[in-house]
Amino acid sequence: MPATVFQYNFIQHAVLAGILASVLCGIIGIIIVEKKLLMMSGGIAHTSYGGVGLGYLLGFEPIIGALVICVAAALGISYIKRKKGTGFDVEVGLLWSFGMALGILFISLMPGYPPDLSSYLFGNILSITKTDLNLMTLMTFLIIFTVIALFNYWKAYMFDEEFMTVMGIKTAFFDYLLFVLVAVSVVILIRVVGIILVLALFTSPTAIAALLTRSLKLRMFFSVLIAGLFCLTGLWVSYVLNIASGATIVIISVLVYLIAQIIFILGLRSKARNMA
Amino acid sequence: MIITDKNSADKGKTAIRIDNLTVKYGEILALENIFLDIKEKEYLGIIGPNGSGKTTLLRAILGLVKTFSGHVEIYGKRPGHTGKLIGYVPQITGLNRMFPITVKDVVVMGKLKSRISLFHKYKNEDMNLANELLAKVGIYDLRDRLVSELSGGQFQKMLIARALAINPKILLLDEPTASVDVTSKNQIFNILEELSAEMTIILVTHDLLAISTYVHSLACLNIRLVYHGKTEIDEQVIDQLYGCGCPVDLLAHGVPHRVLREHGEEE
Repeated sequence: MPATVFQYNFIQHAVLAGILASVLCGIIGIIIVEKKLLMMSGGIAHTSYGGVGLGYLLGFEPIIGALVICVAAALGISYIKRKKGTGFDVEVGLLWSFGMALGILFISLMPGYPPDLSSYLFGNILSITKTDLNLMTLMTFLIIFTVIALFNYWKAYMFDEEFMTVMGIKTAFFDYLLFVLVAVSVVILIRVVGIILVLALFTSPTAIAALLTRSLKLRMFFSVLIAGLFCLTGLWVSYVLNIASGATIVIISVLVYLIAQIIFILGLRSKARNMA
Repeated sequence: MIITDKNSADKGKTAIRIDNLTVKYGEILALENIFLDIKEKEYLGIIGPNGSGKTTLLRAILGLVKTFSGHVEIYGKRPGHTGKLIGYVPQITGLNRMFPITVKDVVVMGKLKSRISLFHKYKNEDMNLANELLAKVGIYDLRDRLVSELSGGQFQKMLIARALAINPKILLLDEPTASVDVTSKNQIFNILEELSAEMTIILVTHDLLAISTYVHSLACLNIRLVYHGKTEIDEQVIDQLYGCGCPVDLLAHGVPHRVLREHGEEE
């Protein structure tokens, strides 16, 4: 990518969005993976499609619609989680499909030609506007503050939530807060990789970072770096080859994860052979 | 019918009062009409077959399950509103043993403030306490290790140290010696024996040898409370607890020794 391309606003926005997305994936991804909340995060992500459709139908910023619907879905899922404890896959699955169905319904109710929502489904980092970027910056700082300010509590929450409850700490607060943070992160990532591809960016950098270090703080740090690498490399490759940016970022994330896993497994085998 | 050993119903302050407690999971009855008074500094062992409600009873005391009827009081307070009165050692199977955290960081968790505070930092005295407690349970040398590097016994000792960091008046333990080796098991029971002078201990276990050797009183549970009293119990109680043709071998003085896999199997 020649340096001259950075004079274009859309490229500057895309790079900044990639960096903000990486920070989120690195931090929230760790909590999602350690708490095994991946499917629930997927459910929240997909309900946002309903919000995007609602935004188009009523004529307001679709990303705001996605944020409202995502936060509502997040609160609903955390309420069900607290009521049922475990085994609420059915509700998550239904919410997942329901959100998508609402989006399709709202778009079909629009007069005239329906808008193309593929940039929300699969992301288009090059189409990020100044408004999107401002919203992303605000929400990223909000999430970083929340995680840093409550770091010791998050650590205890991830390791043994029940122990916190026994100590009289309101774990409901952390449940609801986490799901709202996931919802906000999803909305930020929608413009980068899209609703459907968002899970890969939550998991791949986190899983690779887990292979590199055993410290929680370092894991978050590496995860941010790796996610940043994926986003910027994906952006560069998609620009050079003129292909879809969201898909490129995700394909790079998955391929690098697979290579890292293979190297890790081979390393373990050779270590075992040396010890034998 | 509940068999109560009147002689063991000591005087002293009641730490936990369970009054006509029934717990259901949907339509399934987990506990039924439990009446139990646990005295201050009592070292109570709870035994019973699988699915008899032992863990549910602990969780009811902790306020982690919804009761269907009846109520529980801990020093006059409702479960879930006891602050840091109770230290809890859960079964390790429910925990993420691969979580990237050091032993000392787990123990010091017991010093988290109940009231959520922003930018919470542990004080030096909290870290010193964590070190002292790790020394007390015999794993001080492992303080900087990751929990994923601990054996089952070491992990249990770490959880005991974490529960003690709260400085509780009551310690609840859910099968702390399940899947640990004999040496670690004995070490854990010796730690508990020492602690029993300072606090009320409730120990859920399948280890009948431990019941006969270490604990001071016994509750036998099989959905209903079958027995509460001294640790020396007779065949009638065992029959009620495990059913007829019971798979429990008794020692000569009436203390249950071990549960056999099949009736008549020799040790």
